[in-house]
Amino acid sequence: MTGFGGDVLETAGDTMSEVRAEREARAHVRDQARTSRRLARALRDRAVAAREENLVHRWRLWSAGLLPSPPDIIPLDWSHPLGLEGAVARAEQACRDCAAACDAAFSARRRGLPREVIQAFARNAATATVAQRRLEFDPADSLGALALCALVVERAEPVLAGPWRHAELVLAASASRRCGVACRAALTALYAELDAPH
Amino acid sequence: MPCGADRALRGAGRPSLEGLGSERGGSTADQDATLDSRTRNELLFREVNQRIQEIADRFDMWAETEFMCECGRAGCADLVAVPLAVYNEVRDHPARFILLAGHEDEEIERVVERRDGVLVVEKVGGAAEAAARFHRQP
Repeated sequence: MTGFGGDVLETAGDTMSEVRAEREARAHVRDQARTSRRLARALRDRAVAAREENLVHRWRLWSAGLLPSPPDIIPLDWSHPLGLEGAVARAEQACRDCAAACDAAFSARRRGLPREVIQAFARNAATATVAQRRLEFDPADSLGALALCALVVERAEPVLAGPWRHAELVLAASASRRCGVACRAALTALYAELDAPH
Repeated sequence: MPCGADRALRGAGRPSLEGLGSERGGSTADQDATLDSRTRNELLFREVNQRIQEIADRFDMWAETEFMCECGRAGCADLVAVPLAVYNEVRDHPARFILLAGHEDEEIERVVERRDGVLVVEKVGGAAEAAARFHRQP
């Protein structure tokens, strides 16, 4: 029959295929945005590194007497080194913050989140808690936990990159990243101490 | 991966930093000089998995959960996806660990269950004693 019923079916089919095409187009745009954001982040890191290098060169020129006045800012990596105790304390705090932020994100936003996102945040929270406990108990015996925490956060990076619309998730991703950085710094400080001649 | 993390997971040996230790007392697997790096890694992964288990329990989140492979191989950070109930059963037994197929070491463990690329192994001998010593009831 090609009457009214046929038209309705045709219209419904068209609508469905249009919706499908639109969904695909949306997913494509979202992927493109995500790629662009990653690229932008990488470019920003390169720009910061180049600026730092430039600043160091200008300080060198000034110390060699080739510049009349010193640059009015100093490079970021000239900040006072934390030392072992500072690095360990910072890592302990970062691990605690990471676990708390992931916990808050679960409590507020777990419904509707993709499974792999929840699992990644759960792994971050779990490794951060274990690392924090070991750091609190005895920093000298926390190498494995710190390394695992740094590794787990590093592997979760595609998930941490978002995009997130909710503050809890942004905070959890950011706390996880800071935790990874702090764990690496503490690990480096611990190994420097181990390798130092006593 | 940064060299420090890599080195630590490969079991660079137990560090002994004088003056670093806290005075808060207690004991962890990492502090036991009789444990080799493999056993220490296994116990670390088990501790992390117990935390994942707690989170999953608390938030009633997943039918199937991704845990860390508890093989303790140098540099292994693979994931094992099993239902939470299966992991709970494994964790009830102090000498049992869950790991990916092919990651088992027949010198220190025997396979007690095999399913979809995942193994449940039971430690034997000294490894079983160490696992029991550091087992924490959920």
